[in-house]
Amino acid sequence: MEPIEVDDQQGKLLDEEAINILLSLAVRKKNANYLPEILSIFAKQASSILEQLQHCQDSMAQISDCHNLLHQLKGSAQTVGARGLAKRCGKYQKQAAIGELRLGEALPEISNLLQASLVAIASYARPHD
Amino acid sequence: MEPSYVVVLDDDKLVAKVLEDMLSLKAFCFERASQLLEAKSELDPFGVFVDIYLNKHECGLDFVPELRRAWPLAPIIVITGDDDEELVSHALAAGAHDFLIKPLRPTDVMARLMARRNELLARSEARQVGFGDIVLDSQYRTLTGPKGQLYVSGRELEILVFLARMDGNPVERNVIRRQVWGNLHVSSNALDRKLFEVRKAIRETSDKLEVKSIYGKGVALQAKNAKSLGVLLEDKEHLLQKMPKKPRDRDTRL
Repeated sequence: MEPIEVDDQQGKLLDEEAINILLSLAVRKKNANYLPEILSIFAKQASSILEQLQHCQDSMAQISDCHNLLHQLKGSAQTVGARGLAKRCGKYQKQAAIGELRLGEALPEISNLLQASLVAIASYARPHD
Repeated sequence: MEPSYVVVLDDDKLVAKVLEDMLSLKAFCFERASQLLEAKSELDPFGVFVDIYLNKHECGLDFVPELRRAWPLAPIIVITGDDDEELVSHALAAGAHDFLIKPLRPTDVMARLMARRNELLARSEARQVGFGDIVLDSQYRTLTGPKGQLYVSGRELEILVFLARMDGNPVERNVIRRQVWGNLHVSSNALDRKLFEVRKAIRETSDKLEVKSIYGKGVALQAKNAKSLGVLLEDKEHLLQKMPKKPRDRDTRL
């Protein structure tokens, strides 16, 4: 994977409280795979949203479609503790609302942040010695 | 028995999954409001979680009033990813009972759901009266029976509640007048007009009950005939189970 240029300090990229909530649910459900399962759902949903955003770019779709998709991705990112991604989606959502969103620039950044978030969350959740 | 599931109106499946695990209650997830509205008569949830922005440009808040009417005892909690005070006030103005801001926290989710649910139950105890196969709701001013639900005016509802609480016994017209209008001077015609509307409302909601005028005794809400009475008595246990929640605290007769 290519190096990802994001503000990679975990404090900014991740919402540790949100991840800890998911980890506590894993304990409650006695399911060691709980977080990976949640991340897998998140990754699938996020990929689908990115595809739809790509389609928006190609088809010059209505800006409100982009706004809603970015909102949806922001919400999912908040749930899994991908704070950096959620904030970036929020920023682009605001740009979409005033018609200033440049999807050509936004899409690669969102995609990179998504990958970085998934790696960072998995790393955070991994038991440490 | 308390419902054992919640309903989630959200295009993000993660939310339903996480809520289910936080509450240890089954969560039925609907991505589109139209799907939920189609299914609402089949459901009786413990609570409802609604996202503001849905797919296809739907706004979850638009459906809150209809969901409230469908499930008066289920708290409706709006979920948002924005800590925007205006959105929160819009949610409450739309009729939501509470709101949650993502990321969801288990203690927060559970506490708000239980608090709002208990509030609604407490309110309903004072406001619902059941008689035979009808239920009167004084907060929402509704009369609900097997044939449907009607909105009734305040006076008509007071008459109905009063008659229902008399447990089938006839009540003198003067007593009804005093009960409903107090010391206000009201003509006999006014009471007749109200009783006409009350009878019509009963006819439109139940085949088994009617408001009878009993010569020399007054007016009574009773089973239409012996056969109806038998059916109502047989159905009583069934009706109590169907009627929402905490039957022991409700004023349910016949």
